[in-house]
Amino acid sequence: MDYYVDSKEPRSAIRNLSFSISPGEIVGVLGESGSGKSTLALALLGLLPGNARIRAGSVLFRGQDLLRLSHDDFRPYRGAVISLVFQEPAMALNPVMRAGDQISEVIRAHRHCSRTHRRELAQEALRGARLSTAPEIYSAYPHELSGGQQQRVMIAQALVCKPALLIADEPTSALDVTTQAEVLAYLKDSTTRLKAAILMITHDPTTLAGLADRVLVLHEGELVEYGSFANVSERPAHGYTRSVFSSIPKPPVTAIAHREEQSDVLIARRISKKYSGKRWLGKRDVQAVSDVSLTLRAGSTTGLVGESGCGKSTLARCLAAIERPDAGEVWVDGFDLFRLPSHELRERRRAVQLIFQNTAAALNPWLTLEEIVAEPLAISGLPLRQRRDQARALMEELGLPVSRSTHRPTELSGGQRQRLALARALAARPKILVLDEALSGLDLPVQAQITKLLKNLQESRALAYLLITHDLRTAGQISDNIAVMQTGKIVEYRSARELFSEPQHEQTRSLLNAIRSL
Amino acid sequence: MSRRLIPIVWLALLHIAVIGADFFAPYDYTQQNRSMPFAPPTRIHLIDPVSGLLARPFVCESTPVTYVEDCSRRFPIRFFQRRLFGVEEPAVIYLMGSDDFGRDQFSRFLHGGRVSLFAGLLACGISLGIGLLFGAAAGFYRGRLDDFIMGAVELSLALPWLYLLLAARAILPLNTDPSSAFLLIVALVGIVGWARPARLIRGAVLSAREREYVLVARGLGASDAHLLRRHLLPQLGGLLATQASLLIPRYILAEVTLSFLGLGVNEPAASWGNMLAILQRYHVLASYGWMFFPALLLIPTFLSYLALTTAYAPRNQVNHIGALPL
Amino acid sequence: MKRYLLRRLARGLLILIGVSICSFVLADLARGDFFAEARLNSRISKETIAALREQYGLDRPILWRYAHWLASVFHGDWGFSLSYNMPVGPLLWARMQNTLLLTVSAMLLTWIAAIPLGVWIASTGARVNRLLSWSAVAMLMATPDLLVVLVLELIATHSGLLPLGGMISLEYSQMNVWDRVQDLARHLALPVTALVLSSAPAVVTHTVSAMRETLDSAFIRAANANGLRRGRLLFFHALPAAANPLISLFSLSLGALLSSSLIVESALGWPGLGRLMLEATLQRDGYVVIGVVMLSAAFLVCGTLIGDMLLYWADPRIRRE
Repeated sequence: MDYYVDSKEPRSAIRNLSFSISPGEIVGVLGESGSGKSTLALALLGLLPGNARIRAGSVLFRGQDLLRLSHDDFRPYRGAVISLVFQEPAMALNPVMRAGDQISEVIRAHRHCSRTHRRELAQEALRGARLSTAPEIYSAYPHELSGGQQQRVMIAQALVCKPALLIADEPTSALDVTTQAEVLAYLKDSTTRLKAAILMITHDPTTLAGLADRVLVLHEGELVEYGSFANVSERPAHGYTRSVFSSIPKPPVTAIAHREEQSDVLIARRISKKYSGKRWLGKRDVQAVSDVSLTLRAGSTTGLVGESGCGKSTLARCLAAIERPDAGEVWVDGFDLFRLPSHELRERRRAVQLIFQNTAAALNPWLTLEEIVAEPLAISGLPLRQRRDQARALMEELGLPVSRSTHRPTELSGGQRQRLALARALAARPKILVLDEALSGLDLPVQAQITKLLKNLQESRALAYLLITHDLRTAGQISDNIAVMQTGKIVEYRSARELFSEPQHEQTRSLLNAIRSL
Repeated sequence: MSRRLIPIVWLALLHIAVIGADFFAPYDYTQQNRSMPFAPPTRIHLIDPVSGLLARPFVCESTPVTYVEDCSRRFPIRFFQRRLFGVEEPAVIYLMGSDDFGRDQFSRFLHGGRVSLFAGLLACGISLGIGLLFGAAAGFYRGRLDDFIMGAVELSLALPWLYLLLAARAILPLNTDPSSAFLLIVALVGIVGWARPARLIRGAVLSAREREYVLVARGLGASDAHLLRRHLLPQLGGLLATQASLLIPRYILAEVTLSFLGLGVNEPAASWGNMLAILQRYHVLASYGWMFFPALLLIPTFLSYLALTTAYAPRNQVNHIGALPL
Repeated sequence: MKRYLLRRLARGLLILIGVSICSFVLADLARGDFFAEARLNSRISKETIAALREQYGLDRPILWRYAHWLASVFHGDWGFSLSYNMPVGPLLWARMQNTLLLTVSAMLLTWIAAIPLGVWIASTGARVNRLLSWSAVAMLMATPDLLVVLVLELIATHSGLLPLGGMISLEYSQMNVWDRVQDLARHLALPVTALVLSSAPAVVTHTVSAMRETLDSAFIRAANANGLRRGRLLFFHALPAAANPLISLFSLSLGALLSSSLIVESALGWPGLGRLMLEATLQRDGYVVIGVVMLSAAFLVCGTLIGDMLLYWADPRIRRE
């Protein structure tokens, strides 16, 4: 099979891209958001939106140029010969149809079988996805499944008709590390079993390690590197490739210089919180957090690591006083936050600021950049001119374009939005920053930049950080101490170095194993 | 861009004409002409029959009963003499014909527009005002206040509003003076319709409340007033505009319907509804087509409001011509 | 699920009681009752009127009247109609059947025609088709139902094909079954057409907007990428996911079965509930008014209940609450 695709209108999404892929091979496509990766995937399936056009090129499959096919002629290929697995599994599955039925539908579109036979094939596909409770998964609805299960259902759906090529668009971005490892193992397994070729699109090169035979690197629509994975990762030629591979977070090797004992800025004691069942089928009350105690010190970073659903975000919200815990206390600056009268609480809580993962949702799209950063100042009653000056100073400090300060946040990139959120948080002169998966979802080079920025800020302002993540590697990069969380409890809480070298709890061990296998 | 302006232009023109009815209408709305009942719309001549050239617009005399034109005498249309236009007696300029009492329908249309159009606007204001107050309170404060308000909403929505209007209209004696009838209708229609907008507003406030930037603002120590003013209420603008463009035509229609049934604004005041009431008689319906005009002019008005609803709807709704290659 | 149903039922009952109280209070505020107009007639003496009032209990305090009415509801009487000189219950029952005949037929026709049309408009690629049908729908939507009825009447008058009003011809009782059905159908044609034309545009618009939103979503793109056929995709994948707002609309339509035909009934002389309500209002026949309001409210409550059940069945995401 040969693929050779060229540019699209009006802004060229892809220029002059050629590569080939053979049965059983895994080729990775590495690039940042906007580099043209998803456009490539859609083009290969003949699914480009109406305003896109292919200016030149061909896609040769067994001698046939797929780009010349009409939309209807292409249909028998889609799903049966070339399949696509979309990015966010939660959105890409039909919410009102059972998981197994969705797989059957794909069979129905391509093969003539009886209903029972289809059901069997679907069940078999689910079993192949190593979904242990296959019959239950078959009759479950997508919202009842976890992220990893949803992703595997989607992959099973794409593989059920035994296609020759599977295109996986960021298959693991939305998952936490342990699940990532499982899904990647499943993908690798499929190549050997079904002789399928896989084109794996991602922004994270660590997911390709041990998986991809060759890799394409896309930067702004152009192919900048193409070779075997080993070659490209060890000897990257292009500047962009270099920056990607150097941004991979590495676990702490050297001991972090021993800091003087700093003051405690936040002490959380025995926090507990319950929710009435949101995610889980059948269960009514979920104990999101039980009996958690943490101490944060000025100038130091504590990492909080756990799989999705372990209660990290709930804990973060309790510490930032956005949610009220059922039990326990949060002491900030000597004050018990939840016993304070409301007007005093409003004052005191500014010391703890929360930075969210979803950068777009954390910024009011109707306000200008300046107004967003100046909001804490407006709340404390500063007059307009001073607000503006301080806001601009902060923006400059954080590397944001002050000239565009009257524009809206929609014009910013993901990394810039996060900087803006930080600027806003800093305007409140906090002592503690809680970063709830603040780096996930950003491209690796951007993650590296923000991490560096955070370190600088910490030193200049003696801030305490609580870094919440599902990825031990990210936590290991800048944390002094790491707490591992599982089903609402802290199961291990030690210095970063000790945790990495001598993990005690099995959860910690499984997290470490997951990142090692990537 | 120019396509979007058409509905706004139409509505603006209509409202201006209606507000300035005293000036724009050639006759007083109560002025009767018993010798010319059910006259067809007057023909306006633009071409001089003698010379064949464009002349100053004029009308001819019509004989009563048969309404045959007699152009022996010409009556030029005079402009800007206390009214926008008019003709000398004994000629008449009935642009929309006349009704059974010989009253100029065009003049009554303009005056009736004051009643019907503004009934819609005012009632809409009342509904949205009440709805905003209760809906925002319910969505923002939640808890028991929310339950109570939502209970009231459900009760309100369970009432068959048209029947309720009829029943409530019966509170007043059937022959009140038109202005109290007008105010009563406006108040009733407006109050009855608070529930649906309230529910929508509550939903919008509820979801906006949980957005991350609102949570951040809370974390910054913002007071409730700040949150409402800065983050929540501005977002409601689009929703309110859409609701208004949906409600106003509905309320206009409510007034028209009530007046049509004889339970709204009564004679001698004009309202588009009571002007249409006469069409209930078969011989009028069959023979005097021009009596339909007030109803026909409702169509572009409602279309304009309809166009406005989609103008404010969020991007991913109705107007999205999907480029999906299906 | 059962608990949910019971809770909603209880709530519905509470609402109905609330409605009855509201209507009673409102009716009581009326500055006159059935005999108010009679007072103006000089031939009837004041004593007669007072006596009549006492006979029908109109001079008793409101609480007594409410309790009495409530009791009569359980008997099936629902109070007494002074203009028809019979208990309100059977009157309501007869008229309700007439109205339902009209509105149920109209509703069926509307939904059977409007949904496929809406799906088609939302998914068709040909711009011309879309624009044309969209304009037609918009025009209809902007046309007030009043006008629709009048225009239809006009057409009927000129063509002479259909009867202009009423429900049955004079010779109805002498016809055999087949002729009766035909007669009824001919009388139904006009009012049903009017109702369908008034209500179809709203259904079409809702279907179109719901479908458009769904067709844009990731899971439809994914299903398309898996090579599903267009027809199946539209009706078995997209429509069920888009059903939520449509079900709400459906339940509203169900609830409005008794109240949507007022104009049509009064303009075309159909002997239904709406017409009865109008007459009763004009004549201040209190118990009839209250009876009609209660009945309509009951339908509205049931409609919402059915809607909730349908939503529960159709959308699994709701079930987890």
